[in-house]
Amino acid sequence: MAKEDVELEFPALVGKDYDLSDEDFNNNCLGFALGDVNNWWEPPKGSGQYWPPGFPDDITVATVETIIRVHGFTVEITEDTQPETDAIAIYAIGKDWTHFAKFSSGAWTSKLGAGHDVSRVSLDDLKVDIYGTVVKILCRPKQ
Amino acid sequence: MPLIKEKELSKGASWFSSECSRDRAHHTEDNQWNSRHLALFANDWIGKKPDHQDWGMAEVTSIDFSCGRLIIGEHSKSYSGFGEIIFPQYYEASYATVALKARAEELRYEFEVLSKRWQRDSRHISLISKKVAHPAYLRIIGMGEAAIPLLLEALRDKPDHWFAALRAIANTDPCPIDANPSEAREAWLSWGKSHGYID
Repeated sequence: MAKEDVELEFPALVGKDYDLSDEDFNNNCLGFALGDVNNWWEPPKGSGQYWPPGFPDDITVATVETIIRVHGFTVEITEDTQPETDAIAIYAIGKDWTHFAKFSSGAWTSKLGAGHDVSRVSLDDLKVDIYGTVVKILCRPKQ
Repeated sequence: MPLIKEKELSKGASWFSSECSRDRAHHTEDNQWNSRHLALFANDWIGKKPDHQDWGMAEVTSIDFSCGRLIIGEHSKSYSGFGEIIFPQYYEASYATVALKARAEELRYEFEVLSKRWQRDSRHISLISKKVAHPAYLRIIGMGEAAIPLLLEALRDKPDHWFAALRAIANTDPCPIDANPSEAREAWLSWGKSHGYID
């Protein structure tokens, strides 16, 4: 899938200087954001999906926020604030999460479904119908 | 390709003989039924020409499912003998597999259209539970067991999340609980081979 295909679904990327990786169906945006590129994070566990033990088998923002906080992203910031440390943005529709982006090395990066990840994008670039909007951004605390 | 020799004829041959007799009458008019009849291990012959020269085989060009039985008949003018040969130990499995693969071939075009539509529409969705709710994906599940060879081929040729469809149709899950998608893919392909759905 080339950039043209990505831009069909994310028209805000047209004309922007972003990067596109190879496709990888082993991980989704949550695994990618948490640094686990070998697993597809989605409940329930099994059949190729991973879900950490001890958390409810649901896709609510509340549950995934708990998981993200366990991974050290404990400081909440607003969308109009540039993160000073690694961060994860949660996209949601209603109470259920739909997507994640991660901020690292000064840029936002995101894994798009089972396909590519895009880097050097903005959070707004990914606000499309299937992802909804950003409902929470969690950062690692400053050292 | 496994072929069976006449001396290996066993109880399966009696059924096959009766079927051949019926067809023999059917073919008598054009005097073409002077050939051998073969039942080969289904996984190997469907859609292919036997290349085993020891039997002087002609092509297998027709498979008749109309009577609800597996009949492989071929007319070889170059071969003067007559015989009925069957692979009794494989007959039951072969028939089921052959029938399933024939049905899969009927569905192949529709499957390809649906799978492309699903991949196009769901490729950026982050949740498998939402990806598999796509109407095209559900329609593929609705194809039933005949979709299994097609799903496994698709999984073999281009990794994607076909696991839910396979699980729904096959009513089993060969994936280890800790498998990631690549490992799940390997588990399903291995399962498919061991069950004769793919080569």
